[in-house]
Amino acid sequence: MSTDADKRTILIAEDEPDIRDLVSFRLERAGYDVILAEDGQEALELAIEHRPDLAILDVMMPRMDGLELTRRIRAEQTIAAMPIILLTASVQDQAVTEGFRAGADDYMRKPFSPQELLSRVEAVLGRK
Amino acid sequence: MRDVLAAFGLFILGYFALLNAIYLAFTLYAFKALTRRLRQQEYSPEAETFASPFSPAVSVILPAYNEEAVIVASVRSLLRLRYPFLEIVVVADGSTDATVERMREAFDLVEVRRALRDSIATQPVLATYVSRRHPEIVVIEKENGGKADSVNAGINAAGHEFLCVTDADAVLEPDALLHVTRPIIDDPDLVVATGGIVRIINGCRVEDGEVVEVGLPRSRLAVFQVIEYFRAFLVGRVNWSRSRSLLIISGAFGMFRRDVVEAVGGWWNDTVGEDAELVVRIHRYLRGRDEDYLVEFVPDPVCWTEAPESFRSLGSQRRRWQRGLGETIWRHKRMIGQPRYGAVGLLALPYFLVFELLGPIIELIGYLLIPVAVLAGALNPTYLLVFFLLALVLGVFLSVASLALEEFSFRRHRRSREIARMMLYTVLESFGYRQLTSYWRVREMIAIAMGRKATWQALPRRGLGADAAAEASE
Amino acid sequence: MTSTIGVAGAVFAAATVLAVAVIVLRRATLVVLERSRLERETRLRPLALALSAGDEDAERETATLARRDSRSLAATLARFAGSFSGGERQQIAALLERRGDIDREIAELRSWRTWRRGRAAYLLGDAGSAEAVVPLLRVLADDSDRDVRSAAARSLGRLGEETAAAPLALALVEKHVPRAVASQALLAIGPAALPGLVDLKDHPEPDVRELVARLLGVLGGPAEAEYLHALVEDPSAPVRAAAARALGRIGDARASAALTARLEDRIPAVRAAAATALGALGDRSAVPPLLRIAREDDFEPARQAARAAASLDADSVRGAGAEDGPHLVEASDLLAAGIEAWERI
Repeated sequence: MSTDADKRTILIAEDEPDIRDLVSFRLERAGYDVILAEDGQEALELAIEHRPDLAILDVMMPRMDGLELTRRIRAEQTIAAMPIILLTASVQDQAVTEGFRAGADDYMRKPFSPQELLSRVEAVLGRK
Repeated sequence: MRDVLAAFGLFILGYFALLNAIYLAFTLYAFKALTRRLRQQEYSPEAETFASPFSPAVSVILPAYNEEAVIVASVRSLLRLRYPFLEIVVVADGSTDATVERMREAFDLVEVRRALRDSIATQPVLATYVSRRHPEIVVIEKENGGKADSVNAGINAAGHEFLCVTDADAVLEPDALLHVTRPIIDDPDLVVATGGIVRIINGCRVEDGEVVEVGLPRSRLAVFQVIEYFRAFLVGRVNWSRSRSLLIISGAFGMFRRDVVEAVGGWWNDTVGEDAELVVRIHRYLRGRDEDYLVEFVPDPVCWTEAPESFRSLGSQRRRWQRGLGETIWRHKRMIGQPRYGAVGLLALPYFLVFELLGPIIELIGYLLIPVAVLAGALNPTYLLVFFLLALVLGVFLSVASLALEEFSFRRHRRSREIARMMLYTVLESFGYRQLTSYWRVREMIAIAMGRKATWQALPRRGLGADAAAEASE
Repeated sequence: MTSTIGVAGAVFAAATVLAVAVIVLRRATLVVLERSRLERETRLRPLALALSAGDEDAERETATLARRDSRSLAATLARFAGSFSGGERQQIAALLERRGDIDREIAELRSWRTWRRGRAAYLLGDAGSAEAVVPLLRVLADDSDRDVRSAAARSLGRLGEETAAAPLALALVEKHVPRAVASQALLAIGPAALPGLVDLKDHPEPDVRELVARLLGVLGGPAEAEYLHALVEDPSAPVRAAAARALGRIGDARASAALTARLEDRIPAVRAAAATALGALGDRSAVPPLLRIAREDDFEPARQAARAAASLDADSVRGAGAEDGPHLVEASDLLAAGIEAWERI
């Protein structure tokens, strides 16, 4: 578990309030700082402003979907290296391949396991 | 003379009674259908079910004539539709502006010689492009031929079995495609066309090609139309669809099975009412072959369009509708009264002929003859007054009932002040607005009778949403 | 006459006033209800989140909740459970069982109000408790309302209940629930649904066989290919097409010959499906017949064949000229532009 000194910040972009709250609740409990966005556009702005250590992005979002957002983040110099985990509904088979092609580091299917998400976050952050 | 007048009076009374009886029955049924739909949404498995591998692949066709101001924003809002498998076919109809150029910049188009069907004859295609960034976007550049011709060219280029025809200035609901494909997934063999509720965008707040806040327009003319749309969609189409005789699927957003559209020869170019004409032709074709099929209306909002706010543009819109209706009925007059065409021939077409096409004329004659009748002593002034009051009350009741329908179903207007304003307008519409629309319609009937060609100008587009912002950020 | 009209006018005037009053009242009550619902949900949300993480202090806190609060909490928790998978979902389900929420919703399934039954049927699917399976199966078979049955079907899918596969398939065949709902539920059950589906492969209705073929393609593996080999020779063309696509999806290497044979099918849609499937299969020996179809056949098969050939062997398509027909030209242009938008199966 991280200490306050190296508290890492995670951006969560998700339009469904339930998922957003469930993910952020677990991450905060695990000692991360969390920034929330309700759509892709807002997420991009927050990402540029706060430069979080990691972003968890929903694929289906209003105003800009997670795939497009991933591409934008990769194209934005200051945050291009930010690790990205995509959240996809289980029916979107193609989204996973497309997500990796867009530059995502990992993905998580919905319905999801919070425990597994935490380990993935740690793994992706550790890889850095 | 008195006898003639008395007979005519009876005729008017019968006409009036029949029309309102139909409206009342329609309203009652609509209540049942819509409240049921509302409850259903609480526990319907819609979202998860319909983003499934069983969703039919859809080609969205977007005809665009000189749409450089809105084209990129329109395509972007199509990309945002929640739907698993779709292709977007933009048809640049001999645009003289930078429509194709804008698309090229925004989506990284490359020329790809696309194989085109020749099922429907169209103006020659000049070039075809595919987007490198979104390979599901195809652009067809062709010689100018009008909206119907562009849609037909889009059909020839479409890769999928179902076609969704839309309009560059329609603002779509994110779930629009999920809604209109629902009947198709349920009965893929039977459903040949579907449409949904179209609403008026004036007064709403649009962000990034999406309606984020519903509001009433400031323009009085537009408020009347908001109420009119409630009546037409929440009451009218729900019922026509149920009786298997839906004649209109809005050109702003409608879904069709490609093989059926091809079989009937595509959109008809020589009419201003191509939306209705196509649907009637589909009915005629399939009923004529005794095939079992469905044209369904989905009582869910699918898209928003701009209503004319000036007398002039509203007048040309109504005249165009009237002419379109006339052309459709004329072309398919043989279907009227024919039992083999089922409810389309026995109910819907006769209704549209008598009450929609000829209605305004009957109404006008009524207005002209009443003073004569009163003067000739054939009409008791008290009777006249009571009759008018009844007509007024009925009109108000039907409009208020359609407001109530909205309240009990979608409730998109959140501010109570707006509901109050609409209620007031249900009274006002009987004093001027209804007569005005009838006047335009009669005028167009006269113009048609005298063999005059269509003479209105197109509705000027203001460009919806924050296009500039969206473009800058791509 | 005049008086009749007058009476009618008065009736409608009264009706109008009534309608206006109904609208106003409804607005007012909805505003109040909405506000209290929102207040309640906001107040209970932290508790629900803590419970979702298995917090035991939070669970003790729930014992003292008012009845309405308790129901609202249960609904939120059920939704949360629906967002989770595996053990964490079971944990919430167990909590809802302990609290008696599951029993209460099961009792609601017998309510005389349609919407209550529907709501309960829906909620039970999210909640994830196995106790709901038998009551939901009963609803699926017996409820008089199609929407309630649909909600039950969806829930059985969400519960991943394999014993539901056969009843779901049956409900689907008999049109007790919309086809889309039943097939999605079967998909949600996953491979466990396969035995129930395989039983239907010889159903007299071609529609059903077609559906079986499609579902086998999505859920099945090499073990199911044998049934598809039979269905790809079915007398009904839509069944053959669906089976061809399913074989492509499963990626059964032995299917290559059977699919190549389907390139000669009488029905263009079957030839097109066979071409698409061959493209997905990855067997390069299919390229020459595909190229022939791409050059000579009707639009749809030719289009699919050109794309399949391009995905199997780009060199066979690259540089195609007018003599190769429009479809190979298109595929070649797409390759040149670096676009690989080949058909999904």
